[in-house]
Amino acid sequence: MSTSDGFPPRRRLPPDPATPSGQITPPGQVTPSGWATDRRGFLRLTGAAGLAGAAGALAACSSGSPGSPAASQAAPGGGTTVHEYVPGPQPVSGGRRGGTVAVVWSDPPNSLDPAVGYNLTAWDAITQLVYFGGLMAYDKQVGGPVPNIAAAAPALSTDGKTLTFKLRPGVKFHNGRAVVAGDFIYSWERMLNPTLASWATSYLTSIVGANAVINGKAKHLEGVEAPDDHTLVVHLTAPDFTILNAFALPMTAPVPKEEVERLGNTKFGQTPVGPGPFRIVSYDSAAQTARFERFGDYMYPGLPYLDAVTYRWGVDPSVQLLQLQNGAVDLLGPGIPSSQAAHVLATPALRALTKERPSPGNLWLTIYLDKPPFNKQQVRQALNLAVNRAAIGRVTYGTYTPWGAPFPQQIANFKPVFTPYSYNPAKAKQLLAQAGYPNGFSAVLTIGSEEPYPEIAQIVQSQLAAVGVHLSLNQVSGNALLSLEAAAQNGGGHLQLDGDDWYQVQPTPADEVNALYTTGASSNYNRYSNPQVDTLAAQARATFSETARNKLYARIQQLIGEDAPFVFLLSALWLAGVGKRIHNYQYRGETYSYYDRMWV
Amino acid sequence: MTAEAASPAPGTAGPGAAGATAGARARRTGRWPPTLIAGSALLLFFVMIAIAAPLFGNPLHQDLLGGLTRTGLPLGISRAHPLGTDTLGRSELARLAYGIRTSLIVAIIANITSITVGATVGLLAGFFGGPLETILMRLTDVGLALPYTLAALVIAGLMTAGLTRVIVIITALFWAYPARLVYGEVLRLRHRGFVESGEAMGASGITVVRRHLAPHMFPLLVTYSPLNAASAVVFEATLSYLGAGINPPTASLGNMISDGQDALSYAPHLLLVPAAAILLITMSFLLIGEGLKARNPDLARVSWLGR
Repeated sequence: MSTSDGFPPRRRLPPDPATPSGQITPPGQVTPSGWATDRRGFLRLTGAAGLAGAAGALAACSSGSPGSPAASQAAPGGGTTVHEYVPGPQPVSGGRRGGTVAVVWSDPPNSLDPAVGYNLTAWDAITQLVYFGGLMAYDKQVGGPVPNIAAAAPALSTDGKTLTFKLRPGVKFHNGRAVVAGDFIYSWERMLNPTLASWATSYLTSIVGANAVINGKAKHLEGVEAPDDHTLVVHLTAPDFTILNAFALPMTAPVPKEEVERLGNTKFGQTPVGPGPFRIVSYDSAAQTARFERFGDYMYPGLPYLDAVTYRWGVDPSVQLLQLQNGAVDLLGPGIPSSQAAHVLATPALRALTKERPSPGNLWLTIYLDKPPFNKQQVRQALNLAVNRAAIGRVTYGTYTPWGAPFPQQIANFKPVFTPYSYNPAKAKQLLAQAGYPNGFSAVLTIGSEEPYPEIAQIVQSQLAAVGVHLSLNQVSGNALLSLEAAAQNGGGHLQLDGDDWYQVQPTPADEVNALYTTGASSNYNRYSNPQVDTLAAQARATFSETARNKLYARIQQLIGEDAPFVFLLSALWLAGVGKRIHNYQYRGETYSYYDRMWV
Repeated sequence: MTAEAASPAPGTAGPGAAGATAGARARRTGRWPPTLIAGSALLLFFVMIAIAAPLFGNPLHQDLLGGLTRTGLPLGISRAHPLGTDTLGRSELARLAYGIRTSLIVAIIANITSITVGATVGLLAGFFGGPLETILMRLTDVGLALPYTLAALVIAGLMTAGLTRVIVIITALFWAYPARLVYGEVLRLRHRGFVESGEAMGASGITVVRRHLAPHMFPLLVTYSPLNAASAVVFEATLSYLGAGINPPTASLGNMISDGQDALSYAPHLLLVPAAAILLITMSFLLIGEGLKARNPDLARVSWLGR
C-alpha cells in the first residue's frame, strides 16, 4: 500500500493480515472452557499467556477493571480521575481539560472512512480520533484485545466457531444516536462489499459467508446476526483467534448507516461519523487541514481531555522538525524522520522533544526465490551472514535497530527462539562456495526512493561486494515497486532482491506469519512456501491459548529463519516528536498516538 | 535565443552591436571577449577536476565507523576530509570530483546527441519540405510543448537506471529546440543562389544538404551548444535529485544534493557544495555561449548581458 501523492508513507500497513479462511483446519485442542465471559476474566485469560517480562504488565491488566483502585492510583498530580477502565496504554487519569493540539503530517489521509483509510495520516485519525477500536480494543502498552464497545469478552461456543457479544449500553455516535448491534452488521457488509473496494476485507474472511459478500455473490453477511439491539452473534467457518484482533481494529468499527447514506461514500471519507473521542468538524483538502473537536458523549466519561486536535498535512519532514522546535506544532505525525534521528538525538534541545516507544515493525530485503542463485538455501543464508547490521545501524540510529531474525524484535509475550544472524563473512563465503558460487555472482537490488532504503541499499551493496556478491541498485518510486512486487507474486517480473518492511497491526507474530510467510498469503511477494510453516500457522491460528500458540510461532520463526527467504536487517523503533506542552503522550505501534488521554 | 536572433540579415550586425560594445571591440581586434575567457577558464578548471577525479579518493568507499561522528552524523571539514563526509561516511571531496565528472560527461554527450538529432530533423524538414516538413515540424512542436520533468519521469520509468538513461532522456527532450533553429536557418538559405546552383548542377538533395547547407549551420549550433550544455547539466541534476537519473551509489551532483537536503540542518555543506558546483558549471557554459555570440556578428545583438 502506498499513497499516490508525492510523499511515500513511512509505514506500510498490511493490506491483509490473514490467509483465506479456507486454509484453516479446525484443530481439536480448542478449550472453550478457557473463555471467560466477563472483562476481568478475559483479561486474566490473555494475561495467562504471561511469558518473560511481559507477565507483570499483563497481570496488572486484570486489576484494571472498572472501579478497581488501580485506575485511580494511576492518576498523577490529582487531575481528573476516570472512574472506568479504558483500554490502551495507561494511565488515563490525571489529565486537565481543555486546549488544542496541532499535529503535522507529510501525506494527506487517503480516506478517513474506517474501512478505506490505511495510510499513516488516515490510520491515526481513524484509530484515535473519530473511532477508537471496535467491539474490542488493544489493552495496555503491548496487550491483546479487551472489550470496548462489547460489554464483556464474547461467549465462545464449544466448537470454537460461534462468538456471542453483548454490547455496552450508552455508546453513541457523534450524531447522538446509540450504537446498536445492527450497526456492526451494516458496517461489515459495507466493508466487505466489493463496490467499496476496502483494503481490509480479508480481516473478516473467517466469518461464515464473508467470501460470498467479497465475491459479490451475496449482499448480506450470513454468519452475523443480531437477536436484539445489544446482542451480536458471529459464526466462524473455523476457530480463529485473530478475529478478535480484527474486532479491535477500526476497519470493523461501526459506522452509522444514516450518515453514510446522507453523505455518500466519498464525502463520508472526509467527514466520517463514529463513536470515537473526537468528532470531525472540518476537512479542507485545499488548505490541507482537518479539525477534530471533543465529543461530549464519549463512551468513557471524563475523556477526552483536549478540546480539539488539528491536522495539517503536506509539510516536508525537515520543516516539520523546525515547526516542532519553535512550537508551531505539538506533534509530528510521522515521528522523527530517520534522516534526522541521529542529529535530533545528539542535540539535547531536540532530544528533549522526543519519546521512544516500542514499534512492532521490521525491515528486510526480500529474496525472490524462484530462480538461481536464490533458489539455494545456502546462498540465502550466506547473504544473511554477509551483511553487517551493526554498521547499518550506525546510519539508521534512533529509528531502527539491528535485527537478523524473522518477526519484529519485540512482540508482546513472544519470546524469540531463533538465534539472529550475525556478521560472519568467512562463513558466508564458505556457504557460497558450497552452493557452487565460490566467486560470487551479480544481482539487482530494487529499492523504493523513500528513506532509509537508498542508504541501506548502498551499505548492503558495499558489504556484499566483500564476499563477491555484486549488486547493482535499481531505485524506483514506491508505487512502481509495489507493482513489481505484485507482478512477482503472480509469477512474473524480474525482481531478484528488494527492500521492504512491515508494521504489525496485531500484537502477535500471526500478523506477519499470515501475511508474509504462508503459501499464497496476501503479501507473500516472493512466493515463499514451506508446508511445515503452513501447517503450524493454521494450527496456531486456531489456538486460543497465547502460551500454546506462541510456542508454535517460535517453531515457525525457527523454520523461516533457517529457510532465509529474506535478508533480515532491522527492527523498528518509534521515535516520536512531542512538543513541550503535551502531557501523557501514549503510543502503540499498531494504533498510534492516544489522543483521548493526552492533555496540555 | 530566439529564431529571430538566429536569422538576421546576412552581413549586417544588429543595431545593438554597433558602436563600442565589447563584442564589436573583440571582433575588431580579434581578441576573445572577456566573457569567453572567463567561461573557458572556469570550464577548464572543472574539466581538470573531472580528469583528475581519482586523485581525490574513492567516492564509493564507506567508512561507517571512522567517517561518522560517534552518534552517526557526517564529519565536518578537516584535514583528512577537506569537504567533510556525507551521511554514509564517504569523502565529500571525492564524490564532488566524480559528480563533476558525471555532469560534464552528460553535458558533452547529451549535447552532441540532442543537437545532432535536432539539426538533422531541421535540415531535412527545411530542405525537402512537403509532407516530410509537416510531419517533422509538427513533431518538433510536440517536442517543444512537452512538460520536461513529467515526460522525463515517464521515459525514466521505461528504462533501467544509469548514465545511458539520462542521456537518452535529455536527447529525447532537448532535440526540438535546435531542430527549430536549424529549420529557420535552412528556410532562409533554401533559395539562395549557391543552393539552387547545386541543385541545377544535378547534385542530389542529400548532397546539397551535406555540402552546402549543413556547414552554414555550424556557427549557429556552436553558439547554441553551450546553452544546451548548461541546461543538460541542470536537467541531469534534476533527474538524479528526483531519483530518475543516475542511481546511487554513483556520485552525481543531483544525487549529492538529494542526499544533502536531509542533512541541511546539521551538515549544510552537503547541500551547498554540490549546488555551488552546478551553479559554477552552468555559469561557465553560459559565459562561453555569451562570448561566442559576441564574436558572431550575426548573433551579437542579442545578449543577456544587455549591452
